Amino acid sequence: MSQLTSMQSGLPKRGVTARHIVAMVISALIFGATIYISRFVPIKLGTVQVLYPAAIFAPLFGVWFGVWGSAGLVVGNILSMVVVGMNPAIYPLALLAQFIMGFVPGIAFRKVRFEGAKDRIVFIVTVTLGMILSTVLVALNLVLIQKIPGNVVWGTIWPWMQVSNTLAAAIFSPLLFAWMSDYMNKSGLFFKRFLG
Amino acid sequence: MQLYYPSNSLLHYLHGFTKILVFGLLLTFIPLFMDQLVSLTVLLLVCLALFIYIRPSRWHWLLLVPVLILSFTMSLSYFLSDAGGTLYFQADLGYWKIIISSGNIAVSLKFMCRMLIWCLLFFLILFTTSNEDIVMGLKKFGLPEFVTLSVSLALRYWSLMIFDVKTVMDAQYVRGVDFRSGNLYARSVRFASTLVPVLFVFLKRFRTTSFALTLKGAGRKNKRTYYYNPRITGIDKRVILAGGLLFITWLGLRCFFTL
Amino acid sequence: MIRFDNYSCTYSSGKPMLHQLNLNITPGEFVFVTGPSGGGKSTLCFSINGLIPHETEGSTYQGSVTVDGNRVQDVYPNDLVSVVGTVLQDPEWQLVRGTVKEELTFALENMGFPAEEIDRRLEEVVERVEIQSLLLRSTLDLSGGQKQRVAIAACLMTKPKVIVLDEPTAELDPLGKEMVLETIRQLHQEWGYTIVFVDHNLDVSMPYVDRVIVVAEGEIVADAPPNRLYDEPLVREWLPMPQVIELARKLGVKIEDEQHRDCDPLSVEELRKALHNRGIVRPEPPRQESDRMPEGGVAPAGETLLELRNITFRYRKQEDEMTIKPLNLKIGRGEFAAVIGRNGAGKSTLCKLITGLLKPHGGELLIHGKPSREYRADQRARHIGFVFQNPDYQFVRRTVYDEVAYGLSVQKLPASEIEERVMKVTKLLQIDKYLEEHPHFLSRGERRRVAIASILVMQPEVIILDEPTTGLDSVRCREMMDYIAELWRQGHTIIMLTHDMRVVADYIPRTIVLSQGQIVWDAPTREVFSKGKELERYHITLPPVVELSHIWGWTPTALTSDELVEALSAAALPEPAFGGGVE
Repeated sequence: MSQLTSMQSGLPKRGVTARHIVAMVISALIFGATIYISRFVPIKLGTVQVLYPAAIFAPLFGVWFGVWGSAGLVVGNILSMVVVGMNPAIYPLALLAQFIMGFVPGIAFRKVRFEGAKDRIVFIVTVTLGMILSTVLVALNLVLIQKIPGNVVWGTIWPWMQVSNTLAAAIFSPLLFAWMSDYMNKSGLFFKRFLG
Repeated sequence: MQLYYPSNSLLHYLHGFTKILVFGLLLTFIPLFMDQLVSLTVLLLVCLALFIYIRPSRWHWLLLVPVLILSFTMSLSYFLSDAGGTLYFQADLGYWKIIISSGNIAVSLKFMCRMLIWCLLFFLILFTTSNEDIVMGLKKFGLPEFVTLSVSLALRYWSLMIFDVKTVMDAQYVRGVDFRSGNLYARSVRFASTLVPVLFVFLKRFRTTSFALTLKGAGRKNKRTYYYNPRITGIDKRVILAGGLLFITWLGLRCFFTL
Repeated sequence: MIRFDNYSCTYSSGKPMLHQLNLNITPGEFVFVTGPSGGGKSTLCFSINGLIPHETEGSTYQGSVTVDGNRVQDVYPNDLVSVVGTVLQDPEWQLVRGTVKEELTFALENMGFPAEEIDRRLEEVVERVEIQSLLLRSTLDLSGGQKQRVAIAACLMTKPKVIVLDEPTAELDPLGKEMVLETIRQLHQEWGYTIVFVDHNLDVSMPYVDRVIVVAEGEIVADAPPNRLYDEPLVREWLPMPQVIELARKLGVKIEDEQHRDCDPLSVEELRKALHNRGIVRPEPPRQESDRMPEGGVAPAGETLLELRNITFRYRKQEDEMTIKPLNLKIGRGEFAAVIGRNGAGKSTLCKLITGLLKPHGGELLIHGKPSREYRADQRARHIGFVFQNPDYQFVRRTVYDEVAYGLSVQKLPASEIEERVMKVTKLLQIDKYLEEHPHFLSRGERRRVAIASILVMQPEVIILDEPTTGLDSVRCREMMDYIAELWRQGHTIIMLTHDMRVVADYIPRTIVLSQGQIVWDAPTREVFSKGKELERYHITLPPVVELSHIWGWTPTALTSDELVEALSAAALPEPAFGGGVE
């Protein structure tokens, strides 16, 4: 016992390290690949995918890798755009929305104590609000930059995004989280702090 | 991921920064200030001429096919609203109304033109700029080192990841999971099952790459050297000036005319 | 140069990985670190380059490690780059830049060296490691061996005092291994670097190293010059002998070192000389072939399960040359065949054609006499099972039980039958105690066994195994091969892709040699290995027993240590003076 107590840890972390960079890259690659694959199902509403399985991963990377996972979502989305020739410069609000899809769950996961049912509800409500905020941003991108008629965006596309993204994330993200979290914890990949 | 191919066009010699600024930003914003189908068509033809000028291979030309499909499917959403003009067809689906009118066709064509222009401009950058030059171009915009490094790593590992996904699918196929038959739902479920091993394989790679970066000195506090650091040349400056002038001129003209 | 003082370390699990280690490595030494998997070899490496405790989440330490006067625990690993250079196991993912040149310059860029100095070092290193022709190539286009060479060159750019190599050859083919080992030998012999080389392959490395450290259960169980390593009593428990030492000990042969002390020969040539000194110049070959290993052959043992008729295949990228040239092959029920050949010979492509992952351009594949295209994926899986080299690609479930049962659930079998089959297979492969474990948390050997079980449970008639022993330590490798041999004895038909010629010689009766998409030989292993020098053309490195047989002109050759010892015993050798061998 005395031996264990005298064990020491490494030096305190400083600045942006390789772990942070790689967390961004991993999130970007998996998220980007999922979007890329779904782009080959060319069912669109405006510029929005009717099926967007990547929405399932977005909260997970925020939860696992904090701000770095959220930033990775943006890079991943840009990558998936690059492959099909879409210029990310015309999707600024949509990219911000991707960041929020990871950022809000990431920060909520670290702030909520999960001690009772109330905490869980707070977490779920926060994540849902984050998803709504992100879909609003995507809708604004459509109206302001792609110049898609407002009634189509707010009457059809935005509600569909709520159903598609929020519902998919609400059902599948917790499942995938439960599936992967024991691995993440045991292998030490989980970022305990939001900033890494 | 490598869309770049070496050639001797002027665009191939320009700095990554110049191309991102001119084709990725300035020329990209101009269609946002174009309301006439004619203007958009002219710009589309100019972009197409530039595209031909850089002499893309047959494979590069084929990349325009998904672009066309994407822009077409995206433009269909315009038929859910009424942009006026002569009505050709109308279907009432309860909550939705599908309207095909001259106005809708015009806005949908404009949208398609815009999308095609944006894609062509973006391909001009991607086909003529190596990953290294894109990263150096981004660096000139003042992006922090960790962002540019992440982008270059993501670009490098993209093809490895696609290979991993394929191997995972193969490993499932030999256990009787067939991705090539069944309805869309069955295929989607089977495909979803591959995500788990892909995620695991990737998270395991995470350690190696993270260690490798650390052991190559990434994240040190000292000032970094950029061994490959191409300069902005006179040609770059002229192209930037021309792009800037074109952008400003267009904005100026648009104040007085509907273009 | 490197000093461990009462050094211990643990991971987040709290399990001690190294315990009270004291070790001193002098400048210019070539130290070979080996031992069982999970024993602490990599932990030792990571304690030298500082990844432990600074980069490995949850790791803690006690004591100290000093490298060239730097206390590793007080320096960030990225500040230690100019002192310790490290080459990791995975050739693909440790290269982080697009081209070889970028990879080489990356560390110096991070260190802030001026471009002129980078140029100077680049020129020097590229010349030393002889990679001029690779400089502008994409790192994705290199072979495994080339990648590891580039990784070594990238280390040299920072002019480190110590180079740590953590199993750099584990994932390479023999040619790649040879390429990397040659570079490591040069680093030590010509340029005098201090080398810490972690690996399992004692046969190849032993003749070149100064010192061998055996790490097991977090402790150093032996630390000796290679030719005296097996004098240490504890070593044999952890480390089966390399074949040369095994033979020497069984035959009671020793050589003298520089101090005129008795020691073990380390190479085939040393052993031959030692035997020569004992009067064994050209002994008689074995009178009769051993009955230990039933012979297979070109003619299938039982009914033909698989038949390839004039199969051809070409990848889209290769427009001018066929990857598989017209190829004919029959695999009969109950056979055990090895498919060997260098990387790119067409081994994996052949297996992918058999499993249906690729469609042949020409010719026909018959399964039970019926064209393979008439089988659906799930039907084909009942006839042919394919175990991938990396089991991680396969696992989709959270417990070993669910993972093994997955293929059966795809076939929609009743739960009771699934349970019965899973229990039977997991018991056979001795993974039944892990049924509730997460497959990704098992050791490499156990993961491989789970992967084999998940295929075996579907009761395919033919099981194809892709490099099942790669990366396993010698004990685990033997264990794995014993499991596979047991499956064969129970009547399964097995095709195994491998680069490990000792495994082929010891276990597999039929050998198919592939080169450039064609079958060069398809014959009993003994016959193939009797080809001698001809095999060198196909980059096949023979095991010491076979090499020695060739030197003595034995035809057919001996395949195993026991056969060779038996043959020499018949020639009335003196009683062996030392015990040894793999029990």
